[in-house]
Amino acid sequence: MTDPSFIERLRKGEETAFYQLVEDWKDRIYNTALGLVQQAQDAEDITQEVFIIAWKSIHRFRGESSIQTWLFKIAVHQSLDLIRKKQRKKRFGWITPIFGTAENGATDPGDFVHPGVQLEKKQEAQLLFKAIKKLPEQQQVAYSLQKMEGLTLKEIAAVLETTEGAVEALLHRAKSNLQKTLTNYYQTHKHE
Amino acid sequence: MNKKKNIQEQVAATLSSLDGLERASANPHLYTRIRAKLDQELSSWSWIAAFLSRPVVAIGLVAVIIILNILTITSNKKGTEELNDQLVTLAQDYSFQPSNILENGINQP
Repeated sequence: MTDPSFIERLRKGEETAFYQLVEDWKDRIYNTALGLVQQAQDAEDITQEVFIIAWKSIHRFRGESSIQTWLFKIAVHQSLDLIRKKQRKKRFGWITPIFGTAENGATDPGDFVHPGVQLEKKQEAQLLFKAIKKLPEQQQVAYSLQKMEGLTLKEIAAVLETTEGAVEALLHRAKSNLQKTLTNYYQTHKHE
Repeated sequence: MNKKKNIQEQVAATLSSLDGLERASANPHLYTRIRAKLDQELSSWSWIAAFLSRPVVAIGLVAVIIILNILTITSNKKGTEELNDQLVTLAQDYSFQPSNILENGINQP
């Protein structure tokens, strides 16, 4: 996939090369976006946007990183952008009723259940996704990339443009934060 | 003690709930949608280009630009003439004379 001839075909605007790119990567990009935004429709829109951006900016791809890193970078950027937009909307949600421009589903997606979770683990996974959403941005991305897509420390570091050590620290902090959130939850919801 | 252990177990179970997670699949018609969106974007640009290249629109735009240029030039000219008139009147009122030889136009030997 990362061979120079394939990149060259994309640069030339070859339709078959673009089709191959979409077909090869659409599930991984969708899965990553879904893990971050936790809403199927948003994840689908992001996936579309990722490939449109990739198609339009292929001439800027210098091949220094792999196609995987490049696509994941765009997907993470688009997902975080949407999360920030939603958070802003939520923060200033009291303004929208005044101007009458409130949109449905613009705020909290509610209880997210990933379609790939095993049936017997659904309840716990739902809780874990809620806790992941509360993590700081970088920790959320690192944790999601590892758990959802099984990316290695090196691959995550390439996406986040940081070192493997920094990713390791991010993941450690993410796990510890999740542990705290979940412990608090179970302490207050003793009978569940 | 037992309660604490129980909570720890629940936390551990929750943290491992994503183990063995199957990858979610994107819409099978994703490529068609992307292609349609790209074509739509392209067609909106070509619509703008087609609109601007219509003879009536193009000639109209050129005419507007020429009129704006003429207006700017004439307003500038008027302003300079008025300023010159004022200076001449002022010079006559105060009987200004050229103060040196060079301004008198006398050539030195």
